[in-house]
Amino acid sequence: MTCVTRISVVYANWCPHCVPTTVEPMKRYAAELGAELELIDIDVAEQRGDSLVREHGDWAHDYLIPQVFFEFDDGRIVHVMTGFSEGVEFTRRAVERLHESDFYGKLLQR
Amino acid sequence: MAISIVDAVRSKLSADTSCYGHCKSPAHHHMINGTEGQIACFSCGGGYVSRVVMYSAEDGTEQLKSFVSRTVNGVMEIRDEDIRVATRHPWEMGLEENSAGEVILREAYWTQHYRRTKSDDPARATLFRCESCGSLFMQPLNSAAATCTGCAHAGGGVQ
Ligand SMILES: [Zn+2]
Ligand SMILES: [Zn+2]
Repeated sequence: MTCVTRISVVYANWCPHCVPTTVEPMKRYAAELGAELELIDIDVAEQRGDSLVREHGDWAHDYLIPQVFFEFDDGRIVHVMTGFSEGVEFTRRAVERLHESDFYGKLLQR
Repeated sequence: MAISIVDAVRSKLSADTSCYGHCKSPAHHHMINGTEGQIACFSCGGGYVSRVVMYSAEDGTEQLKSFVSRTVNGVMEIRDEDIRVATRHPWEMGLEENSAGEVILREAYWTQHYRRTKSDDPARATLFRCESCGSLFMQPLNSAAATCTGCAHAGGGVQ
């Protein structure tokens, strides 16, 4: 596996699954991985968010947020998380589990 | 994958949520009979269905859409903006050691659109879950019977 150069978060300021639940930890993860953090506010940069979600994420007419993507130095963009309609607590746990995962652990060793 | 999708879902995604739009009580997760563990709904104590969720390995959006369309029997329009999809990775489900790291599940959600405007018809057709047999049925929002007509006629309804 190659290294992560950018974490992109498609989010909205009014959404509790996004702010602070996902955005704050992603700031730490990006720093830890030495990656750039790209925050894509769907109310500001709708087109950028739409194209990322359409090409690499969970696309729907009114898609779920947040959606998080890791971009690697070989150009690959990988979807790593979508918020949980089941509740903010689920989204919070998913953000934590990403950090605890072997997938993430291997990226840190780089 | 050692653990089936259904088991994963039951254990990880079946906690109560809040009833969406309709009331402030919790909505419980119920698997829908006859769907082989693929489709569930969240409904509150009043039987109002806030979400129908389809769990599958591939994108189940179209299947969910046709299931809900059949269920509402043309009485309600199933709109694309009420359908969303989410990819779940093994680590999110606490199943990382049982997988090779790929996607294990896709959730497609349909959200019942609960509007609150002055022009809303209080008797508009709404999707409910029968308290007695667990099936989904349509009835006017303001009638709010706890059981479907089949169960009510059989006298088996919990009133
Ligand atoms: Zn309710
Ligand atoms: Zn019934």
